[in-house]
Amino acid sequence: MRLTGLWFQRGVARIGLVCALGTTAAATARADFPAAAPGDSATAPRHRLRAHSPWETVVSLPGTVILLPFEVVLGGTKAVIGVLNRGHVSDRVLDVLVAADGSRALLPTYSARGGAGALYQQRNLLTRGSKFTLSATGGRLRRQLFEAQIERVRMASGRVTAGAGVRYQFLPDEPYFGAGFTSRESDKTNFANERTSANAGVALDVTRGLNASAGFGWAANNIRGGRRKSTPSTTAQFASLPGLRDLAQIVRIDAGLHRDTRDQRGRPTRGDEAMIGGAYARQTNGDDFGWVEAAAAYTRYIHLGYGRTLTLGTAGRAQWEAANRTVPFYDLLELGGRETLRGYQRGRFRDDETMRSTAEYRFPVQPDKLDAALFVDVGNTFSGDGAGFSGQQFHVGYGVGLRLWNTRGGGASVDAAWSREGWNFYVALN
Amino acid sequence: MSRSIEARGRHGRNAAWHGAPGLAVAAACMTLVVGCASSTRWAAPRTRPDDRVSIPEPKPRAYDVAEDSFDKQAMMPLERRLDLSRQLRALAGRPKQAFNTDAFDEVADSAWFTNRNARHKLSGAEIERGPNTVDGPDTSTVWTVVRAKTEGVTPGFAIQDSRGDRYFIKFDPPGRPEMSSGADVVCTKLFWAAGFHVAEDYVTVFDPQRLRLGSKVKFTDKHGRTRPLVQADLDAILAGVERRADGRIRALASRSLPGKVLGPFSYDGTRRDDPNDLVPHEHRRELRGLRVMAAWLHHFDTKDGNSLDTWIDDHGRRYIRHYLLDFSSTLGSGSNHSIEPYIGHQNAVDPNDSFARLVTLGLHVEPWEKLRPAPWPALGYFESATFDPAGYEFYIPNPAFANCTGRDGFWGAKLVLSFTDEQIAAAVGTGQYSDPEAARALVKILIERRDKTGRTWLARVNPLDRFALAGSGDGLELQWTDLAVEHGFEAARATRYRCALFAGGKALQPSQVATEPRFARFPVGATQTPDQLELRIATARRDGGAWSPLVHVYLDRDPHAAAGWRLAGIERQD
Repeated sequence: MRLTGLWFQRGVARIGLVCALGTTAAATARADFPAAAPGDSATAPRHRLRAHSPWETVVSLPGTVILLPFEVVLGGTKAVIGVLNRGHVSDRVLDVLVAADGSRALLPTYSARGGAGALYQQRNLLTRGSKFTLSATGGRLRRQLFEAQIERVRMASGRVTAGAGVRYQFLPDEPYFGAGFTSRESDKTNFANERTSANAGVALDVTRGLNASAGFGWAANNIRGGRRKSTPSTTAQFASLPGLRDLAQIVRIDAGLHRDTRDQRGRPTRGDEAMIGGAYARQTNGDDFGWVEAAAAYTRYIHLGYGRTLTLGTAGRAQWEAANRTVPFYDLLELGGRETLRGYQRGRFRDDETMRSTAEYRFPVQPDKLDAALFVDVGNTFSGDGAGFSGQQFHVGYGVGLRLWNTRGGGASVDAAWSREGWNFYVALN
Repeated sequence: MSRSIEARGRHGRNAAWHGAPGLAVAAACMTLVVGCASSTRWAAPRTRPDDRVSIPEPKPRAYDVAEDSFDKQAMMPLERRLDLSRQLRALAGRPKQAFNTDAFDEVADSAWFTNRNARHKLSGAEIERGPNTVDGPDTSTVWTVVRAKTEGVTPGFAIQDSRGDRYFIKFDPPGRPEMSSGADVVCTKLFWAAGFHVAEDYVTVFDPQRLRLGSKVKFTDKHGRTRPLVQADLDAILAGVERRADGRIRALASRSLPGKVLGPFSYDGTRRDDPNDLVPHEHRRELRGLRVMAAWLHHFDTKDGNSLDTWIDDHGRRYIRHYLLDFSSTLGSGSNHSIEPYIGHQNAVDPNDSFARLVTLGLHVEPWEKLRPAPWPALGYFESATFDPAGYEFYIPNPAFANCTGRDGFWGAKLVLSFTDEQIAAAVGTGQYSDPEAARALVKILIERRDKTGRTWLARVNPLDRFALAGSGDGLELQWTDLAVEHGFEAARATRYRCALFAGGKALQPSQVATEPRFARFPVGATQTPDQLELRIATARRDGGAWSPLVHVYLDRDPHAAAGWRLAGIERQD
């Protein structure tokens, strides 16, 4: 580039010469264009003109010096980009990872909970429209999450679809602050949850966009002391918590109705999504745990025009303990984190009832590539007696985020959310 | 209005300071450094040597589109911001002007450009013919496929027809028949008529049954791997192509350029192995002014890769000719898709716009965001309502365009304005749009964009042109054409011209205000009159309206001229 031309081809000595010439340099530059009769191009002198005159070179010296490190870094980056592009590296990698028709993809994935890893997706595996997902992630403190899931396998006339999956996770530092809406941030403890689970279910397309589903699940939970040493271990601080000590195997059946009229899944701009459902869960290797659960959620995507979208959503869930049984603390309903109440840490509030609402305004920053979002989340947990269900006691979080989209189905997001307990940051990939 | 025309310097710094007195200090510094070069006698720019003389065979230039994009989007903006001389010039309102203009701010014919329509009006037939020397590929017999590729934006293949001519064949995107082929051919004609060197591009309709594989034909896949071409590759390319009811396919046939292919030219720097290439490309008037033509025709993808140098044999002279290539991304076409509405309004990656959107929370809706596609698939989002000729943003920043000054823009606008409605219609006719309504709409949009281009760039300077000297002895008359009036952008009856006569930097007589485009009978016969006279002309469009920047017209004493004086040149402020 220009800098190279200036300093490495002309040499620093030329600068000194130019300085000595001082302001007469301008006259020199001007003399480059003496009077000449038009049309004598055959006899015009043939010397190559420089883009910068000597005085410009001198004046630009400070900027040129500042530019030098950037030129080195950017020049190196450019060279690497050139090598990769000439070797069609990105195309080849993408071709290996993502099929041209989108039927299969191997993508990097990241979430704060599961860590970083890979996600393999294949569509139309058993029947047309099915989706098979295999993911493996890991992270600090030997965090692990492996999952295999198949969904939307068409059966019978095609109106019925089925799905099944297995999952193993070892989450070494799940937070626990105590149950109830009055739990304090300073009471934070952590526990390790090793959970193996399996599920299967069927869904019936009732009408376009509405389906009814039923499912069965099994999970084995083994709770241990948390591995994050900076906060106390839950096993030490809350020794009497239900579910803390023994391995609990729990089966669960659920049923629900789901309506989805979003115009697109990854980046909806119109439509709504509603869910109502219930579940019954019971311990199989003992008689300690058993509960009934109900949930309802509604999200509306309002297109404000020109790519701007307002998302309004509300959700509520409740658990009722079955006779003489209770709910293990790790299966209590929770609020906090990227999916629920972004201004608060994941798992910040746990109890047997939750209610939350969210409003998010999303607008394009770089057309078809990058969106920004402003959001506010409100929510709280309650006990069965309704304590905490008052306006003053709702927890509020505000934030901003960026959403990056690409044409081959991937996406990434960065969110920064604030609440009275401080800032929380979230990064997610695919 | 309060400032007299005599008070304005040759370089019109007063105009630059107008409304920004705080910049006077910077301008004064600039004047110290630059302005001291002024002499009392105006000197015409040095004539650049003819760049069409024989040179030894150059080597092809390697080009990588990713490197180029990174260079232009990451490195170039940084370099320009840290180029303090450039910033000082901007501060002082004195940008660097093109290096290769003549005394009348025009360019000579060269390996880059040939003055055509703006100098001698072309007939409709000439526009329709354009650069073409044949009638396109012979579709009556077999086409032999000699090369194929699926890499790049558009898959396609090269063929040799029965005459032995080679063409590269490209197709319209599915669902948008005629879009890219029509745009390419129309713009090829217009760029050629303006004066740029372009390839011979044809709309052709062929029967795929007539395709035959040549022997030892190479095929380059999308990963850049080259291997022998097989029928399946050809079938795969043709599988995504729309066919007519009779099974034939409409395509774009671009004839191979003559000479040895040397790769694309660069929009900055010079080509080291070309002794003819003496002017840095970013300071070439043709390339700076190309910005205006390209914006008019929505030619947003003006990267190096869409150009080509070839070492040609021109009647025994062997030199490099510089071509503009591939106009399939113009007029609403994105080559293999319809372009998005933001194209032309922001770069592919535009941190400034993105930041502005971020801080305004997206509450400001840009006009282009409200665009709806045209009813004709071939036109996509091509329109004139949101077109901003001066603010047009190219997909990848272009170093020559970034240097475009008011003078360059004026020159480019003259190219655009040289096209009459009939000529535009003739060019659009070569796109062979099957829907006459689509063709009419395209002509209308091009005319509207042309007029917007003219209004914008002619307002940046004093748009007086085509100066002529009449009279003799002690009374001369300078006549000119006011392009803004000629093209109907301004009313002649409301326009006034303020003229003053200078010699050696001193006013010879008080300025006069004229309502006609002429400075009548100014005395030049006195023996004490120096050898060079300067006329300063400003224009106002209405009573009380501001005077435009000046045009300086220089006359040299010439005993051989009829009036004893000749027009030596002009200098236009911007």
